[in-house]
Amino acid sequence: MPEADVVLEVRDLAKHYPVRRGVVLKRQIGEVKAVDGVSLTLRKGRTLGLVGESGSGKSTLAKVLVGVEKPTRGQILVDGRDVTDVGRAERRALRRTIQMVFQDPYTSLNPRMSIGEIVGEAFAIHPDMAPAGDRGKAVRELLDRVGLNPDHVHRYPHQFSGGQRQRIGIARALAVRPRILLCDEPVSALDVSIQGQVINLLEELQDDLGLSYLFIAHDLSVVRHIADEVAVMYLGRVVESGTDDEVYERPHHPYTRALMSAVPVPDPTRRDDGLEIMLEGDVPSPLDPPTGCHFHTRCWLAPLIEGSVDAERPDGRPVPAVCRNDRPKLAPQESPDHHAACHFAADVARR
Amino acid sequence: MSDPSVSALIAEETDTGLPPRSLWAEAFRSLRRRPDVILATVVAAFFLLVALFPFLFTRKDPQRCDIADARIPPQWFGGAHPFGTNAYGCDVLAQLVHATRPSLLLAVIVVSVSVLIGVTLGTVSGYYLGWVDAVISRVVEVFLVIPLLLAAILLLSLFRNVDLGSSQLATIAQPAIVLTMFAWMGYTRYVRASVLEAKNLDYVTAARVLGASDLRIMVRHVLPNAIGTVTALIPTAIAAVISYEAVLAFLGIGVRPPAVSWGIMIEEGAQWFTGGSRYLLYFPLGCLMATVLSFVVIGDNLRDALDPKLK
Repeated sequence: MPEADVVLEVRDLAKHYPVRRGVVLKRQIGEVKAVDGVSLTLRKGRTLGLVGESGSGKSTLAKVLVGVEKPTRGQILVDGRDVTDVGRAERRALRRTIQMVFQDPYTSLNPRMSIGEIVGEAFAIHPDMAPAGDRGKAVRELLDRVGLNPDHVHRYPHQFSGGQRQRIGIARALAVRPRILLCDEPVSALDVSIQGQVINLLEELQDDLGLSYLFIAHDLSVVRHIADEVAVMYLGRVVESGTDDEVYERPHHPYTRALMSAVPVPDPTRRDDGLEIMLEGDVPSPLDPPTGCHFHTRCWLAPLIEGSVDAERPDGRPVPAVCRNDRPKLAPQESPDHHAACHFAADVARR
Repeated sequence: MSDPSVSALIAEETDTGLPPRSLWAEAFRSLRRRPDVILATVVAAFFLLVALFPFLFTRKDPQRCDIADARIPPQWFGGAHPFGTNAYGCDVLAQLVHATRPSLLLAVIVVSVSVLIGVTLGTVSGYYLGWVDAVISRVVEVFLVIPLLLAAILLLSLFRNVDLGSSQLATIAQPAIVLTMFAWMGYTRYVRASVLEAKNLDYVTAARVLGASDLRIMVRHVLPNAIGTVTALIPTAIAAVISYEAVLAFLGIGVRPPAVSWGIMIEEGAQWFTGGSRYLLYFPLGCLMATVLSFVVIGDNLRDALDPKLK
């Protein structure tokens, strides 16, 4: 199964946060299943887009992958080697393989450090990356690389705009010459006009340096533009994955279908063409997720399945018992790389 | 690298940016415009000068007293004793001048040592949480519920027979230790709260993703942003220590004679207040109040100026 060009593989990864109550004797009263059994594959030089609503566990997944949080369960494989539970020295080496770009360019840069110090910190932490005398030069090269004026090394973050700050964040991540870059909503805090510039920069860097991206976003059009493959998350689980064309054009999960129908069409004459699927209610609490298929409480398809009067959901509409009781597996659809986790995946495409 | 028009756009954006102005420079600018702050700074600076160079203000030795000259009323600038003499015939001006140093030195020592303790414990406690935090927080609470005056009176009277010598530091050592013991908790709490807030910021996570050590994260990323609130507390804390020293000296357990402090002078002067020599109380009390008030004014305004929420 491990192919030669797979750089990052995640198998059944889970991160549960215990919820405790009590001051002295802390009792565990439950757990938040932020990430609950996610499997992903990232290939060399490719971009995997990860989409989902707020609270679907995208950012937690990123934190687990960069080693800031420890996974509750599952495996992380980098170049086919299990790095889920490595020692300090190996973790250190791993930090040079996987780096991260953060969402908010305003909180992700220390306001009291100059740009040179922020980007150069990687060399202070990993002294063998650049000899002491060459660090200034290396920092200037990095700034030039991300499209900033190298003469600005002594400036402070507040003197830069949002887009420029995000470039600084990218330069910081690139300092250790990583092969995998996790981008946690890198453009969602930026103006639309600036978003394009940053996306183009990321694509250029990918071509020049052969980087692999795990690109987290909730903006579907941005993901479609940059990603080769897409995975859709709902309540800590991947509900559908495949190439961007497969997922966008032929969604096989009712949730994906609803998401895609919400993408605005920039053409008034075509506005009424597709039917827009309205999902009702909020994402259920990950503290107490629905049984069976996590999506059955909001699914638009389940009540339409014929002969499905055997169970009822909170809003009174009938759902098939199988949706309530059994967790659907990510099963291959028409092509072997296109997976969807729905008991009635075939029906989604037909409707 | 990329498209030249994009680079030009970027260059333009930064070059028109405002010159850098830090939080401190901003605070300093707003403080400079306030007359009460200027007045308070002048008063505080004057007493600092007196403490550092007492011989500039008097040539008399405060310890050379002649009982024959007892209780001479103030002669102002005409006579040998401008502020008069006390019950033992010592020159009041000389005593006042030489009492400034122990009072201020004690305050500076107590505040700097307790800030150091508070910053260290607060950072460790807020950063690591878990049992370290539980232990430190409980100790803080224990020290907070003990009334300072009761503890100080008890401890200082227990050890009043211990002789540490008669150097300047030895005379203030005991009150310094006791006051420090009960002054560090506030800083610990403030720093712990700021560290809790700062340690989950994205740039701290970014440093952790890069592989920065705990020490590096604390010193480079967390502390510089947590220390601002503490610096604003320092002038007010100095004022508080000066007045506590006076209280302890008044009770006879603070700075020890033969060293003089304003508290000791107040205590001695109070006995003659109704006996016709009111100036013996007025002079040291006036100095104490002027110093405390000026430090409080500076501290209050500094805190407001450094608080970004009040802008």
